[in-house]
Amino acid sequence: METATKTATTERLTIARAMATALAGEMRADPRVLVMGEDIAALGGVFGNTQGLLDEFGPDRVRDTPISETAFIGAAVGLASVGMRPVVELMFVDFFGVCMDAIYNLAAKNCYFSGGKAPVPMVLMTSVGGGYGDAGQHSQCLYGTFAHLPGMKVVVPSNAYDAKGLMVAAIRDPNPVIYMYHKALQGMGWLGTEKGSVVDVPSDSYTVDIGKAAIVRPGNDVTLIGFGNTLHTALKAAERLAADNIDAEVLDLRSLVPLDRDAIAASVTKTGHVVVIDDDYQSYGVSGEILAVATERCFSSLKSAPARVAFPDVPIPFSPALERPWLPNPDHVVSAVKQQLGVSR
Amino acid sequence: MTDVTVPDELWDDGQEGVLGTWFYASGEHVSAGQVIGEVLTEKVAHEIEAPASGTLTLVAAEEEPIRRGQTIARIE
Repeated sequence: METATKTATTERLTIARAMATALAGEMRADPRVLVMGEDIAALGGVFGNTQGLLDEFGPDRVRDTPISETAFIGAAVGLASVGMRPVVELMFVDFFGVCMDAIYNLAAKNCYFSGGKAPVPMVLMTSVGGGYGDAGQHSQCLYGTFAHLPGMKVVVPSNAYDAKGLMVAAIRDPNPVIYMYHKALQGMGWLGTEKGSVVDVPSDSYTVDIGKAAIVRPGNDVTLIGFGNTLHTALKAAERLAADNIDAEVLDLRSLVPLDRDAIAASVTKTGHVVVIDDDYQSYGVSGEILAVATERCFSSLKSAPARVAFPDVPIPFSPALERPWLPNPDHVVSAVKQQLGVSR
Repeated sequence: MTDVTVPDELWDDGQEGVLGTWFYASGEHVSAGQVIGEVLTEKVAHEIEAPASGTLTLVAAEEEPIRRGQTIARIE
């Protein structure tokens, strides 16, 4: 159930502000909630998503940590195991290597190992995505890496409304939740702020259901599936296709785990054509999983081979001239759709 | 009518910044204190707050170079 109700007041927020607002609201409501990470206190986070928290809640609950993800993400697992509600930031997802044991061998498994007696209600928020020349260790998405491992939920907001509601839901969830926010949507201009991510957000607290996709543009001719940054790529492609009288439906996954397979199947059954857009590496990832859903659940409704637009299986280049052409863009999507529909370009 | 100007303290003399993103369009109503857009310099985004409530008119376009003190929008 989405608990959003008609509220008198809304504010237009970036995803960064929406995340900070959600954190502040949950910290006011629940003394167990605390935030830890590198530069999240005095600086307010290098991506702006913890602004104002130190002033309101103080250094006991808003803790700057040394640059040791091994230590502080391990500490978060321990805090969650003894009843706190820690939210920790892994500044760039690319650096998961040094803390993955705490994430996938402890946080994701302890609830199962203990027969439900030792849940780990933590949120790991982490920035993803490239497009601004930050090279192979600061530009990855790694959605598939986290979504592959059972025992954790994974959410990816595409706009400020979902960012706030998913953060509140993630903090209240008894399971570990990986909250992956895309740098291009964050409201940090040096990375380019996607305008469509800045939306009016209710001032009151509300949740967005984890595991529920949303149709953000209804249509009948083809299904475009995106999430996070690629949702905006899909919307731009849909506008271009509309000019050619192709009526695209756009689905925002919002959560990767649990994946809303019913929403994918319903839309693909209706349109018969599907293109998935994913800025993570192409192979063994989210795009492949969605195409598997389309073929497993909608085989007899498909009118063309399901297609995907994803990042090629190479480390992300530093050079903008090499990086930009390979990031999914509306041109790639339009061309994939026209090929499916047998329309000449 | 109130001018929205680039704050003086954002960067040193002589440097230029760039208007990043407007979160509102001309003709929309804004309230005093709301963040209405971003100004960029040296890889840092600075939020611009509405100095007054009223109807917004954008003067500077996104990606346009801007200087300190420059009027980038008006509110009336």
